[in-house]
Amino acid sequence: MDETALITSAQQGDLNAFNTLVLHYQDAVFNTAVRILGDDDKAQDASQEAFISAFQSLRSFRGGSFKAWLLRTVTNACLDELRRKKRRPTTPLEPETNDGDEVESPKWLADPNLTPAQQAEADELEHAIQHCLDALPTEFRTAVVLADVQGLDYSEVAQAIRVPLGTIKSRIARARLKLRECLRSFEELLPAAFRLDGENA
Amino acid sequence: MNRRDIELLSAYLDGQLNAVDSARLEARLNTDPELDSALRSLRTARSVLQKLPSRKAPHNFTLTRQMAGLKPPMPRAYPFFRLATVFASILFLVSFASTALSSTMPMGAAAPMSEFSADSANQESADMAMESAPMEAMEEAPAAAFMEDPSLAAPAQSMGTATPQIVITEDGARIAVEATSNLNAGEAETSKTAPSEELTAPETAAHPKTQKEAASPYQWALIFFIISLSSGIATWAMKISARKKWR
Repeated sequence: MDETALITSAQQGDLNAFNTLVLHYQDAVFNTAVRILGDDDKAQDASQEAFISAFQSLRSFRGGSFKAWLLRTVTNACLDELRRKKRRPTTPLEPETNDGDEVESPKWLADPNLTPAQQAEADELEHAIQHCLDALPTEFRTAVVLADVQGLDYSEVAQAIRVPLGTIKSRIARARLKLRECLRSFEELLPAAFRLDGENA
Repeated sequence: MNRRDIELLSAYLDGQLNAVDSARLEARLNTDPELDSALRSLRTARSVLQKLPSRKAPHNFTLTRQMAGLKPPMPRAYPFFRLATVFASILFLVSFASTALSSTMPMGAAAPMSEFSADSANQESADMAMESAPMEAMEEAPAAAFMEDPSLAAPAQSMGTATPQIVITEDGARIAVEATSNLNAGEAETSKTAPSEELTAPETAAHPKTQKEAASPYQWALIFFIISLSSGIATWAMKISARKKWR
């Protein structure tokens, strides 16, 4: 696949050329969206939105890594989705006492363990990692997904997120540290190789 | 171990440190077990993420023309017809509205206009009569010119051989006509008939003109409507055929 020729054709409005690029990169785009959003349906929407946006703004692509440029588009779509989610927060359940007063922190509702469904999901390593990823702040999660899941180098991540290189280094380092702390609770799920490689090597 | 050390360790794992910094960090790792433990923790986290199974796209995200916002290529004449439709529609509305307004306005405004035209016609005919009346009659009935003065009217009546029923009116011309009719029937005939012909002539001349004026705006509105309709149909047909071809 001559990527440069396809990009040039797509910039001139050739939809078939662009769709060839879509087929080549759609797994990377969807995977990034899933890891950032942690939700398949929303990831599909964000991926589709990203490709539409990419086609419409393809003329702004001035060379460099097309994958990084495309991942920036999907990252923006994911961040928009997260912002929308933040604007529409769910209403917390506030039960009342016998006297009719609201119980602001009902301890009897707080379950320290995961729900059975969540537990079943968390039994798998993938879900455990996704759980830890979801617990990261958005900017850390985005940086570490692009660097470690998608394999972009620091400069490409900086290009994708549009932040300075130093900030990227810091975010990736802190994200990995937080992730490791989270993964300690799922130690038994980690393959032996990881445990040995990580802590005992 | 501080935040800076964590960043150094992370960059070291990714091969982002230069040779000098790498050598310096490696020397510290050999002597600092806490730093070494932190490096292994970061490496584990990085490895776990890198080994995370890649999720495949559940379906193709290829774009359709509609999704991409592409429009079918239109014939060259399409913009012309579209513009013509818009302009013709605007002109139709303007001409129709102006015609409708002008047709409602004359109900109040036509009356003074007709009065004015009747008065002016009478005045004109009277002038004509004055001119056509013989000078002798004017001499025999000089009172006609001074009807408003009663002192002059009495001698005038006695002097005049003709004794018309002189009615003191504002219309001096009419009096002159009546005076003339008594003096000379033939001449009076001409002087009487002339104004009546003159009176009817402007009326008959004025009516076709107003009818024309009233009809022409509607004609333009109709023309613009036809242009608008035909160019609109042409635009629509072009659009449909272009879409069919595109599919």
